[in-house]
Amino acid sequence: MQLLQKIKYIKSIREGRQTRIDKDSLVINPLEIERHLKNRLKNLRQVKIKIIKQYEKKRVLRVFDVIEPRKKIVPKDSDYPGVISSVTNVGFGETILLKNIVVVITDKRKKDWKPILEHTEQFEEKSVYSKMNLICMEIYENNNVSTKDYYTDLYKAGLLLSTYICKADDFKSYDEEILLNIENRRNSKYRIGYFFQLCSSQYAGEKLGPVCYGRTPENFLPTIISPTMVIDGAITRNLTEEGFDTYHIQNNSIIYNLLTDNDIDFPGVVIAVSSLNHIEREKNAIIAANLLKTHLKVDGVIMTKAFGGASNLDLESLAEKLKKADVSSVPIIQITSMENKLSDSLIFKGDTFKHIVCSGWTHEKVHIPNDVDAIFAKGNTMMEIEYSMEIEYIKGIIDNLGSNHLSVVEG
Amino acid sequence: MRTHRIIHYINQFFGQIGGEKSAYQEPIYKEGPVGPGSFLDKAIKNGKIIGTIICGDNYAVEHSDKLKAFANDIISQKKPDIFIAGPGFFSGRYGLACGSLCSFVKEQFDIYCITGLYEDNPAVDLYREHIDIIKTKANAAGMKDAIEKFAHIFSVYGVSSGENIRQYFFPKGLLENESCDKPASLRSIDMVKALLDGMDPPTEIHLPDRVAPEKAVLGKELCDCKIALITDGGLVPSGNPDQLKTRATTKFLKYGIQNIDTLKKGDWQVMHEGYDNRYVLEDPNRLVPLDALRFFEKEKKIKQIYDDLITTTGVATSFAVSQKIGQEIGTLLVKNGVDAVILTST
Repeated sequence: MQLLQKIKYIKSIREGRQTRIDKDSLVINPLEIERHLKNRLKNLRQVKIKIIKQYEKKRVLRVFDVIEPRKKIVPKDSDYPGVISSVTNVGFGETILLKNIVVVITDKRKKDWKPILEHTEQFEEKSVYSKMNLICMEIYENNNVSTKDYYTDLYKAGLLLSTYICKADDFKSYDEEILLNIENRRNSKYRIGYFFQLCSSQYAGEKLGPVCYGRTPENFLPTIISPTMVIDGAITRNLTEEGFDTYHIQNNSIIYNLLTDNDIDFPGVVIAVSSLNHIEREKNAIIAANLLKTHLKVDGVIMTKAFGGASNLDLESLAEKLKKADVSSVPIIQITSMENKLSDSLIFKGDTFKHIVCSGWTHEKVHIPNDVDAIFAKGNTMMEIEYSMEIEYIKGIIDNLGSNHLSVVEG
Repeated sequence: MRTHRIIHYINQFFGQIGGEKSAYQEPIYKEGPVGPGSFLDKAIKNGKIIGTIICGDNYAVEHSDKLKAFANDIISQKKPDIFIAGPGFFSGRYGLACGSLCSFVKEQFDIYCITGLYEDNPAVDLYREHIDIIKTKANAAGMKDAIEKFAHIFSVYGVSSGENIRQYFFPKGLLENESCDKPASLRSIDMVKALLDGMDPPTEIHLPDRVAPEKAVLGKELCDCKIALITDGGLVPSGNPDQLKTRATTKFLKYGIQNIDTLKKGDWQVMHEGYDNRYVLEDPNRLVPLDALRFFEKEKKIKQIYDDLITTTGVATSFAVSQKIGQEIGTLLVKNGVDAVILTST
């Protein structure tokens, strides 16, 4: 299976009569986009779009998701299958990627204004989004649209917008091509797999949404999936703003690094959701361990999770099974407690994980200036903004999937 | 160039006055290095030990004010820019004197103070937040290693940010994010490769082996038991009067339920961001089964329900905080004659 990613770097963004790519600029017509989205989503009454140019000083409130613009060109009409396209296979063929630009969806129903995206010089080194061009979108729906339908439309609108602006016909050339191939590594020195726990609120609540080819996490069993499928639209992020952004799934740092390391044979990813109870945890761990050891035949596994203490227990349970099968495992975790000793911050048993990578402490507070204009602000929202905020509420700083450069030390 | 002026503190043993019999030695001052100070003086290329304060271990602990007054006079006169104490290794009294003096001198004179202690020395937890303490071995067999660490620390003192010497110190009690050259994904791949190569790569978090608590045994019939209701589901009276956080809490709360037969909808709310609490809000008894337990109380299946509902929030709660909360709740329950607990977790 081969996936060719054709990359275009967008240097600037502006509004114009027609949405298109003009050399290295993206031109958008908000009314044209609104028409397109309303044609696809019957509940939409209005779409508000605002652009934030690179190096423009702005703040985005109530961020629901961040998406990198991508569009499948081979096979056609296969973007985010099961969510905005009919269910079809992805992970192969050709996909257009726009870099240096992201679609930011905001959630107007959210009561508080977190999380935020800081598009300021202060955050250029901290957040992956702070130096990019942004297309920000807020949707307004018809009366009596349920919470569940609103969030479903909100997510779909973001995906539809992110594919629409790629408009493949306008491309004359690409800045870069990446060929991702998972088949030619049989004689590599290491055989390493990836266990990817998806965003997985599992109860039939308002934010239960698609995670894999459009299906929701309920009763989801661990399964094998191609690494290229994960980054090519098969995996989506549920409807919660927690966990990771769609951008991070699209740019899954572990997958890209495993696929491009010539010493590594990377036969596949096992995806799963967080377990609701001990019995499910045991069952899921047994299945996942079997898939990794017996079917993917890996010697080592990297594990990531979305959030939550229970998901730590999931990783630990799987690691125990893998250890018995003589498979080494390393989890990437984040510290979400306030403790001052790292060893007290996790609920892992010491004899399971001897080797852990830590990608950040979410409670680090950073200064948030009050002299930054916020888009889509309501009333006096700006006055409510605290002067220091924990980085877990600032988009693009911590990536549960391993792209950020943070680690945690005891000071 | 030996620019730094250092005062060194040692006990009576290392000060070559005597052993336990000399533990009440009053503080004295000698010019230049003494005992291990001589080795330290040679090792620190950019500093010089100009004098040594020596004091008996018992005196230092029992008359700490007098020792501090003595040190205050010496440092006022000699005007060092660095104060080194010990290393005190695993010695309890010596370690406390080292930590206490360093803390005092730092506060009084705002000069750099440092000591060295073994990890189980009680002075580590007492003083690590205030002063720099390097990790040493348990006894004087670790003197050479400790002196080398001191020398390395001073070789970069005032020159670099000291990132490469951070490992020598006990943490001061705050977590910090630091930037790494490689992203977490590459670090994890490197770690797995090293494991597959049969190596033991350094972990970014070292976890201690946890010991599972012993299971309690109920020593009497249920009908003779006082039962407490506890939940980590974050149930609190409406309005959240005690400001329980929805995550990472460090406390538990108790609310009187002695005159309540059932937890009514609307009287309670959930401060917990980790589960779908709609069913609990609809009927709080589904989280804390007070209604059912009252039934059993009336039926005399149990003797009594403990007067307070104990509640906390089990989200992003660390092992250490959980342990602390658990011990506090346990103490409270034992003190109030509770025999058993129904603990509902979400």
